[in-house]
Amino acid sequence: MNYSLEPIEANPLGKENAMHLLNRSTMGSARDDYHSFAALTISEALDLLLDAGVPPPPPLQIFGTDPNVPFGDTWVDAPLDGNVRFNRKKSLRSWWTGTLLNQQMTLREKMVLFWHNHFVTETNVVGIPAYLYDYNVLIRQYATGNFKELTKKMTVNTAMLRYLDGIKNTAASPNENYARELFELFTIGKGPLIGDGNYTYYTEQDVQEGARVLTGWKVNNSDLSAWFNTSKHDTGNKTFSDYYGNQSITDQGSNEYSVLIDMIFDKKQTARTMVRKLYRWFVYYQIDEEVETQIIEPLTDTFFDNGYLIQPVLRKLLSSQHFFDHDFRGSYIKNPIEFTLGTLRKLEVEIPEDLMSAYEFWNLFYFLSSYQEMELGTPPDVAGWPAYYLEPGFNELWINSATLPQKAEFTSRLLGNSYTRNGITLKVDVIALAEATSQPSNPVILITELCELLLPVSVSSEVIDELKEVLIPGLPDFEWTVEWNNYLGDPNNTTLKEAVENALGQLLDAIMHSPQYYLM
Amino acid sequence: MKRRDFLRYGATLSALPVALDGYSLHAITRHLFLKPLTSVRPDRKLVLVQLNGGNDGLSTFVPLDQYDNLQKARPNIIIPENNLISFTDSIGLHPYFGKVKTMYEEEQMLIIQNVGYPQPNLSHFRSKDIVTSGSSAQEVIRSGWMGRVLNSVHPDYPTGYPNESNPHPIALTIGSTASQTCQGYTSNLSAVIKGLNTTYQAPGDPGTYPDTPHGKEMQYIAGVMERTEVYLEAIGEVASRASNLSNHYPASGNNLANQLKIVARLIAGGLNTQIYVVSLGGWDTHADQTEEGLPEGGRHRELLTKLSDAIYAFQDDLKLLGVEDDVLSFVFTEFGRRIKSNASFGTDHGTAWPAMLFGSMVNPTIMGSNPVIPDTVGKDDNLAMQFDFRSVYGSILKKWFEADDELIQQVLSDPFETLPILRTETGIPVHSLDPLFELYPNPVESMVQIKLEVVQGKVTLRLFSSNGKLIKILMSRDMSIGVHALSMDFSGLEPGSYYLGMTDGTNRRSIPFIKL
Repeated sequence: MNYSLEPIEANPLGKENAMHLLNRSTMGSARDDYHSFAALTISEALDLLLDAGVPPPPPLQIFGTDPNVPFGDTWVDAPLDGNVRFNRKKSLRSWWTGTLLNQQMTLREKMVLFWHNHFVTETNVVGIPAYLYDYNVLIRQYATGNFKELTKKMTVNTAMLRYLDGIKNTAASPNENYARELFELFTIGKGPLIGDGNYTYYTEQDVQEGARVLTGWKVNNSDLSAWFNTSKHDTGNKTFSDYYGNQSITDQGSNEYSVLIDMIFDKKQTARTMVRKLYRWFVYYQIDEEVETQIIEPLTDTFFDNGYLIQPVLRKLLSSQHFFDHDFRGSYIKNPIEFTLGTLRKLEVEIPEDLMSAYEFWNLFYFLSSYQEMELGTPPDVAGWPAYYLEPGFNELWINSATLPQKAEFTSRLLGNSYTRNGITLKVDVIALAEATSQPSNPVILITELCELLLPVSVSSEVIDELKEVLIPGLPDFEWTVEWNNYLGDPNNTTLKEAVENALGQLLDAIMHSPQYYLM
Repeated sequence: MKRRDFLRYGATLSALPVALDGYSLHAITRHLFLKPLTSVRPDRKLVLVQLNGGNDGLSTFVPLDQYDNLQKARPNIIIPENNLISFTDSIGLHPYFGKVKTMYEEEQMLIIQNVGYPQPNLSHFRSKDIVTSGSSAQEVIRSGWMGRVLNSVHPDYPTGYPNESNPHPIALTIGSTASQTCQGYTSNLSAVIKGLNTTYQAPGDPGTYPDTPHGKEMQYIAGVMERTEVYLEAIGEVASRASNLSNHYPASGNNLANQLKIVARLIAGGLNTQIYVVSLGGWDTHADQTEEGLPEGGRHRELLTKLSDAIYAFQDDLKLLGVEDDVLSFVFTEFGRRIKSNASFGTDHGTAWPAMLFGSMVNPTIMGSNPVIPDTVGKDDNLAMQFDFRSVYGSILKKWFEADDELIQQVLSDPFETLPILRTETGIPVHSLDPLFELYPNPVESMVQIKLEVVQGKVTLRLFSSNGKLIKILMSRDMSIGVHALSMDFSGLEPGSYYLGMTDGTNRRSIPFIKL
């Protein structure tokens, strides 16, 4: 294993490196994507991936009727009259799924998902669609930006204030919910219990004093903004534990939360905790001693010295020889959203352009990921999806006897052209995928290149032989050449076309049913 | 380093005696240190019912003798005494928990009061880890308590599973993710199903894998694929052999009942699986536990309705299916809730909670005393623990599965208290716990008499605050086997509630008391 953070030397990147980089940075790369990245240097590739890009247009009124918003207009600033919450939430989750699916080749959407898993909110707890949209805009705006600034914005974000009971936190009746998670999950993290109520990096006292600092924040339901109610704020002296040098925060009104966050971020441990989380999100879940000293520590310095800017950390990590080590190829189990949307992206499935159909399909994809136990907008609890923190399984938790049948059903039904919405059936153009290979009439080249598109590691000749058995069972190679050429010679002959389509569909289904396909 | 640390972290071989040369680490962790469990009763099933979020025991089994103090502590959420269901002389039941009374009267239920652990942790995540792993608050164990038990029976799992003698899952979670309680040393021993009638076909021979992160994950996925195919086929076949017979299952909207329905059908159909895990979420009632102006409304009412409806139908079904004597259900949660309510008609994270065991074989009684509510309750005050949750686990293993003490000790790492969780052959409820451990008078003014029975070894008496913080070791010395009487002077102790803990080589006991 290579533990160097120096950039890889390959110049240009080449296909395999480009594939690895895009697998880990995006929701999946189609053939053209990794082919074009293959020609870049690592530095050029990171320039593109770290580009902020153009924000997506807002979600639209599509489902049901809304007294204030005509079909196809956005509802995000419209009054919440009538029974529109459900349909707006449906619009939002569809839109978000669509945004992930149609992402540009940048790190942004992968990081939006990272922040969603980090600063968790749950759709039905927050309840109000406009707040959920604000939250979404915030994590997109700071996708690769400054973690400390994001934490400050998040602390007084309307969705978060509702989700973790910030609006119920008053001087007379303090509510610890947000303060606890701020320390435990959102920033510095919990260390070993080293004394009564002392979790090494914070204490129960810090949670209580933190809650007092955060008292007074409210949400104005008419203009949908957060505001500070001085009369509900605890103006007394809040004193923190030894770990924070017994720092006090007193009578600084609406600025107190910012002082509190500065205090936590002055501790390098906050950077370290976050770097570990980023490592697990992008590289691999096991952090041994060597990774700790040779990767996590230097990146912690980078993060801390850059004032918690994400960009330089990701640039260093994703350029590194460590990240590109061959042993990591195909070691990361795709989460259900990456699995579902990545499949659609790699197979270049065309989604109809009319709004109604597009939103309906995006909503379908949201459900398909939910069936595999990842519901966008609704992580199981405030700690996020267990696959990113629960030892020892980590992302192996995505794979079990309940989720496997769902995954297999999804790929098979997709290839069987059996998802229909709004009268339109999704179709995988298997012939186009074959034609995009360098020599579709040669079964070995065809299979090899489809595997290269879909699988994270190159496959052995035995696997190629097995897949040939799927494409042309018990037949010599030239039979495929004959079939394919017959079809090319008479492309309007449906019998010939269906024959190659069926064979190709079965081939793709077999590739996508292999354990390798669940990895990236 | 403690032995368990080695097991947990798979540390270097240098920590081992030379004589062990030639064993792989793998073999050592599984065979040498953990004695195989041979005495598990294969006919007996355990259903773990996990209430995620932390149940408020004080609104479930309301302590009538503490009602006045409780009313002062939670005036906005307490259910009026008149509206409670009369359960025992000193306990009123939540008005939507009435089916539990029926089950108790039909001698199908055991309540164990004030279950918790010393130095309680108020984080959900940590407390959930503690109760699923069966660790103390001070140590981190990554495997689950049941996973360790199952690993002792099936040390090589998942290699070679399923097989002729184990055609069915070792444990089964009804839900979406394998329960953490069944996490073994290296892999989780629970299969997962969402419902019946799912089929799955694994891809062909997976071959061998390189010793790299990629190889590790490939092996994992391919293994789950293979087992999924076999297990789902077996489950489908077993399910086809039995149907649910109870007409008490709610028609809709009760996810726990739906899960238990599947369990009943599979057990009746002859699934060999001994451990089933089901769960019901939503117990984290920081807000809206009750409705403003309607203390018997709100989220807690919904949850208790679901819980009692589900268990009631399940027990009825097991009886009709003729398998009720084979099944024990254990309802647990990660912690109880704070004594004082908050301004949002809810309760924050707390400590001790009432455990419930259901089944035709349970000792149908209430173990332990009502929780003690002080006259003035501060916002951080919590209930004193009376029984360590690991004593409940240990007692299930010992009494229900007839596992031997050594194994249980290895699984739970600390001495545990054996509770008489099962009915005796005479069928008469057993109220006293053996061995003897008593303190009187209670409340205490100054001198206190302690009676204790020593089974073996060194006896340690510890004094804990009501929230489980160790105040003082009162005594630690070797004592002869038999019953001893001690007297101690507690006059220097601040007024308040405490508990006295006793451990000897085998047992762990505790009694709550009040100092006036």
